Amino acid sequence: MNNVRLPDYTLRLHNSEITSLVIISDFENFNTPILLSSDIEGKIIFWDLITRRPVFIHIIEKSPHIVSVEYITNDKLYAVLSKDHKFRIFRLTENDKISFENEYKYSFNVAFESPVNTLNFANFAIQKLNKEESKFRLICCNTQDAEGIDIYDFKLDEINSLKRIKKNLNFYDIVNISINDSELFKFDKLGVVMKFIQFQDDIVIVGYESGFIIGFRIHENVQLLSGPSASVKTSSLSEILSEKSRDENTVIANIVEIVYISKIHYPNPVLNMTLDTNKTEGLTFYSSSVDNKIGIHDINLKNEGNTSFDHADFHISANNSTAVRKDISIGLKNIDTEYEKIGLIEKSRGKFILGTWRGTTCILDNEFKLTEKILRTKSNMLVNESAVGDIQNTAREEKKIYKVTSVGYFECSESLNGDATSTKLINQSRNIGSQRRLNAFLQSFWVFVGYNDGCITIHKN
Amino acid sequence: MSSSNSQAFREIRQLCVAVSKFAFVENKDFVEANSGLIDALRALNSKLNEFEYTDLSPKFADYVFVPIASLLKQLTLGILETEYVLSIITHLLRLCWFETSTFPKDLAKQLFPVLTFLIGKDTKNEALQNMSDHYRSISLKTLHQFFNSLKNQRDYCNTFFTIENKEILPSLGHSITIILDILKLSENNPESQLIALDSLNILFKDIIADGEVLSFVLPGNLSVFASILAKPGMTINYNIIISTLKVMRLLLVLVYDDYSLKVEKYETGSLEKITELIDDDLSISPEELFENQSIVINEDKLKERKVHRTTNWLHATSSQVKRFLNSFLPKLVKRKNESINKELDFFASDLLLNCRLSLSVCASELISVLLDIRSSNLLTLGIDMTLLTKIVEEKISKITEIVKFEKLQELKSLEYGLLVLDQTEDVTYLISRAIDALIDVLDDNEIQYRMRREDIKIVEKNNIISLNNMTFNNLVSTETTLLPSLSKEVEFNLSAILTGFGSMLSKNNSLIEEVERIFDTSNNRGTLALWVATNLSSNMENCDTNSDLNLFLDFKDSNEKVGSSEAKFTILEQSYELNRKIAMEIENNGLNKKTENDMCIILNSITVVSNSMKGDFESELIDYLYIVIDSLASSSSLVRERAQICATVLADNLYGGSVTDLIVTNVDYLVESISSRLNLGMTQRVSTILMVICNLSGYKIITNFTDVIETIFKLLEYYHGYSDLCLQFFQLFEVITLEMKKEYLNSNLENHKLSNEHLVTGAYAPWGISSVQQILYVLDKDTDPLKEEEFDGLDEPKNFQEYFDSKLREADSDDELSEGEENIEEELKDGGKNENPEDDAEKWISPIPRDSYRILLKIIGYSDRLLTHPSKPLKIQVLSVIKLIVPMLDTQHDSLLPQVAKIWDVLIACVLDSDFSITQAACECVKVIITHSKDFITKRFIELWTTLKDKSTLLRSLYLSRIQGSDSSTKLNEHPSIEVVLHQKFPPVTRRALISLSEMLIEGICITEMVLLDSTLIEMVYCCIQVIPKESISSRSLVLGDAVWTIVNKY
Repeated sequence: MNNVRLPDYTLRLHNSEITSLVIISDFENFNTPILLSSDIEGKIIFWDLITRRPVFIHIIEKSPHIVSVEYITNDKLYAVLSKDHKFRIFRLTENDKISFENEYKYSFNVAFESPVNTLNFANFAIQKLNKEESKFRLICCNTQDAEGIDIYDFKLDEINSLKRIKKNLNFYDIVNISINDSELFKFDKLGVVMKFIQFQDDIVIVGYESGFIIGFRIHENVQLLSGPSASVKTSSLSEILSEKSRDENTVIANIVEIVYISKIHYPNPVLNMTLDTNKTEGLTFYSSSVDNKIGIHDINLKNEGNTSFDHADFHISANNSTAVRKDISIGLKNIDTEYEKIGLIEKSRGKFILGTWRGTTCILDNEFKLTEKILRTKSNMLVNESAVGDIQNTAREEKKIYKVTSVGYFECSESLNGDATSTKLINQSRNIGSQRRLNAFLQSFWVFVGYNDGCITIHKN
Repeated sequence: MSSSNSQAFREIRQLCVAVSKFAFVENKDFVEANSGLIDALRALNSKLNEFEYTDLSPKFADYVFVPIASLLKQLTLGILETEYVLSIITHLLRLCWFETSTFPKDLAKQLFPVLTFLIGKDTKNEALQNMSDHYRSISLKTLHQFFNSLKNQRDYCNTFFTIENKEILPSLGHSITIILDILKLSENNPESQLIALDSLNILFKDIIADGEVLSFVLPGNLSVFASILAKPGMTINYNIIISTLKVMRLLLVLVYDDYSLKVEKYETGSLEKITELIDDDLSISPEELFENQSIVINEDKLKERKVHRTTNWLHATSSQVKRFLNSFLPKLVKRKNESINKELDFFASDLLLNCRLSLSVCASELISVLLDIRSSNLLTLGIDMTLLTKIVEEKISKITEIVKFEKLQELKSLEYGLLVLDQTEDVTYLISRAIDALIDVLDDNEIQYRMRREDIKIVEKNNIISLNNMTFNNLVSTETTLLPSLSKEVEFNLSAILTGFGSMLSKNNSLIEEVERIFDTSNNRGTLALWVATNLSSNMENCDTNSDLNLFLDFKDSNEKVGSSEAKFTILEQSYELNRKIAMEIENNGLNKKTENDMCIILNSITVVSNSMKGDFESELIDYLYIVIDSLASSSSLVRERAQICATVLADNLYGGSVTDLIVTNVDYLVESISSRLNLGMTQRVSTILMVICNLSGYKIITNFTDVIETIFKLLEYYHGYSDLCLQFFQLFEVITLEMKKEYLNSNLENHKLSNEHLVTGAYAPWGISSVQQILYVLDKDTDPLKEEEFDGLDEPKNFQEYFDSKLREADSDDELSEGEENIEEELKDGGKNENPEDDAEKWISPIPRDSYRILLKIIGYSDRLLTHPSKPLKIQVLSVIKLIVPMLDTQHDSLLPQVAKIWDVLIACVLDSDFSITQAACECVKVIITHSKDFITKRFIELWTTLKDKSTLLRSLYLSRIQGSDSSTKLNEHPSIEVVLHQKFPPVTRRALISLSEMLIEGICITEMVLLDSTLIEMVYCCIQVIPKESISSRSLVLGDAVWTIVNKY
């Protein structure tokens, strides 16, 4: 059981650390399952998982460290955050003919770009706004303060369309009110943002350095009603808030409603979060930290389509930008695992994939039982090219274990599996050999692990 | 009377008169062997022989015949006389009675019995047996001529021999026996036999042509014919066989003609009848009997009641015919004579067509013949398919025997039978049975074959893959077999037949099922089943081997194509699986004859399938290319040959014939396969293939596979005891290092040395500058294209932001925490380290990137360990790798020195080795280290001299100088003159080692001369001049020059 699994295959084209792995099951455009990988040298590779060869390689100008890549489903759009302080959206276009310089039939064109904060390692969240085709909303760290969150709206191909909806949102105060337990919690800030995840079209979940996890959504142009003062109770801070807002009874504003708060990882930082995509109702996601806990978070969405907020039911922040239901429950559900320092976590239909700082990738079943363990080690010959003594320069010394820097998985979506016509669609224009390969591929569950040396290993599960 | 007649008459008259003199004497006065008579007969005969006309008048005949007739009345006519008489009659028949209506019926009636009597006096022809060939020949010609003439008498010839014509019948019988006897007796006289057969032919066909009459003579004829046809060996002239068959066919068709016999078949035969008859003839099976009994002659329908050919007669004789047929048909088929086959075809087809019912018992024999000669008539005759099926089934059940005794004919018939059946019914089940039987027997064969042979391991070494000389043409004609237990011919035929099966299966859309079934049921007979399956599905493209089959196969349905493609993939997958198993076995137990053969079959399957898929095979290379390339490096020449064919086919179909392109384009797949093999601990040939890849694709590609190199390092740790493996790995390292050098240091190694910032200590060449270019280079340093940015640029912060980021990154330090998040942890816990590595760390100036440099360091690390290995070749290889790497490490000089310090001691141990080839390699290596480490090794070098003097066996073959006599313990008592010292001779190995040692010492002296004691210097140089010409030493430096001068002049 504890035997370390060796990779079934390895993808070797990155020469530096892998930063993200994204599965793209866009058979209409690619006719094959695609794995997108990015590294710290600005390289993005689209791998054909059947031939295990790249169908497209793009290197971002000046080879910046890519932090995160998001695939915007069905739009052939790829949002990329890189350490040259840039947020870009690339549009993948299929070239008419393969030119001499470009050996691939695809090309990447910037559809939008904007300077952003890449001080820390947080990713970003992107929402497609339904009203207009090319309008998107970006949620990322504030330009100066990595603890704050900025929210922007923009339109593709219009650089000037960028509009900041919310600036430097900091949930500390309002969370403090909601938690209301100064004895237990002695935190004075939430810390920097560690991770964003996007759920459905409107909910964004943020994990903080302090271990707090906050889920919120944005309500545009809603009524903010000031409730009767009697209903406002206790906490001095909230009194102040109430007083301030008493003057005008109704305000129309864009409000950020906090729909979820969890503190299970406090005081350890949230390292990663993943959605349970298998859920059809409600929202469940999992979080990991440096401790051995995996947070299990369920959000029950109340007041869908709420158009007004009043002080009776909500704590509302001083600047009328944030609101939280007074009766919000604080998430505490978690499970203890044998693993610590879980930097990476992914949830598929039936499995958890954890990547730890110790270099192991663990595949767990839904009951958190270990089914497989993946570890890549180097030889015992650790060399140091530095001429200077070993003690000071440990940073340069090699480590015996390759670091896991990204994990991903592929499982055939149920619609694809069951539906004969869609399989037929996929199989069009493939010869029998690759049809067989594709069908064999779709039968299995695949785990992808990216390492700091640029290797991506593929494991059949 | 025509002029020719009168002329002939004139010429013959005297001769006839002469004969008459003797002919007309009284019986009692007739003298036997009268020479006068004989002379007269001879003269008459030869005269007649001269005539060629056929229109001489009957009167002429009468004239000649009169004396002959009276001669015939003589009771005792000698043999010779008889011969002349017969001959003369023959001439008369030819000359006078040949044309239509020239031969009166009465005369014929009279003449015929006379002739038969004259030839064979007794009806049993006992006398004839003892007659000479000549006599028999004349007799035969006479009869032949008689029938020929009779044939022309259209008015009566067909009624000449009839049942009613009772008086003539005995003579007819007699004449036939005569002919048959002569036929039998003239074994050595084919001409006579042919005449005999022709006579019968004329008699049966043109004269009698009545089955009823002929039925009387049938048995006799058949038995003679059969005895001729069934003669052992293949000595009988084929013309005779053909003629015999012709006559026999004629006879049988006349006698057994369905139509004239009015034969009918009763669908329901009664059982009683069978039991009645079962006692009569035990030689035929009840089944056949039943079949036979249901055939009945409808005697009522015959116009005139004929006594002889009754149902009972039919039953009795037809099975006799069957027996006769059985006695010779198989033999004739074996002769594989085209003309015979053609006649056999007529024979069997005719009988099947005309005597379908009456000779139905013989149908299977006849069909078998048609199968054997692959007659196309089988398709048109409308024969009974159940019977054919039965025949085919029987053949299938005999497959074991067929293969074991290499009965190729049978095999082909089987195939043909299936092919014919395939036209009307589904033969899949029959083919399945045949294939199963085939696999069984082949497997059995194989096992026995293996048991008879020792299991020899193939240990031939092969570390080189030759990509040259791989052209399609010189490889296609491989003489080796895939199934060693069979002969080439049998294998080829089996393969062709399986291909035929495959075509049929694919026509019935059952190829894929069959292939899968074969694999499913063939446990442990993997490659055999693979071979069978491959042949089955090799049909589409290779039809030309079976061109006659194409007539029947016509592929319209696209499903067939899909089915056959599916089958190909199944075969490929099976090849893959088998290869995995076998490769494992080879890895464990080495290659033996069995696994060698298995590999050949696998490669053959890949070749066949890939060749039929052409371009479509490209997507399959991912799995199959490695098998091929790996086999190119196999230790078996057979496997290599197969692999070469396969590689060439792949290259031809996919890469315009370039095997190099095939490899270079698919390096990723090859490396993937290597990687997974290494992960399984399979190491054989891996390094060879990696070397080829490195050589072909260069270092840039190698950088993508550093993880594989890392795996090899890991394996070195596990398998350091296996010198062969380590040696291979170090050979690989050498290739990698060379490629790295080519990539990064190719043209400007010198320049880089100069750009190093270490102190150059060469005494008289302060900066080591040796050319104007180098001076210019130093002056032009500002525009150095190899500025630090180029190597460190990425790490250099360009602004605060990056600086901050990099700081976070660098803080990621001494545990295995992951990037990013762990920094925060660090910061959270201890506020982060304020380390600034960019400032402290030495600048990276080597053109070799850090990652690659690390690989070199690792190789040096393992070299260090493996130099203590006892294997000599390994040590030498390791030393040569070190020698190669040291100058490269020197591009980052400061990093070289710790390595030098580390490996110095173990290198010196090698210098001291008692094996001089190791010493030589070690000295060369140390020399390179001295060159590159400069003053860093000064102290070590001086110590080395002491050690050498103390421990080196090599040094003992030299004279040591006297100058240190007082403190040197190795002083020799008698010291030779300098001349002797300078002109020593050493064995080659020692000499080479000594040269290396001296070169090393001189190099060391050049580096350390300023700190070297004079006495030590002299000692060293004294040794060197014994090996290296003193001029070349003194030219190295002034100090050395001085030293050489001192030695030469003062000692």
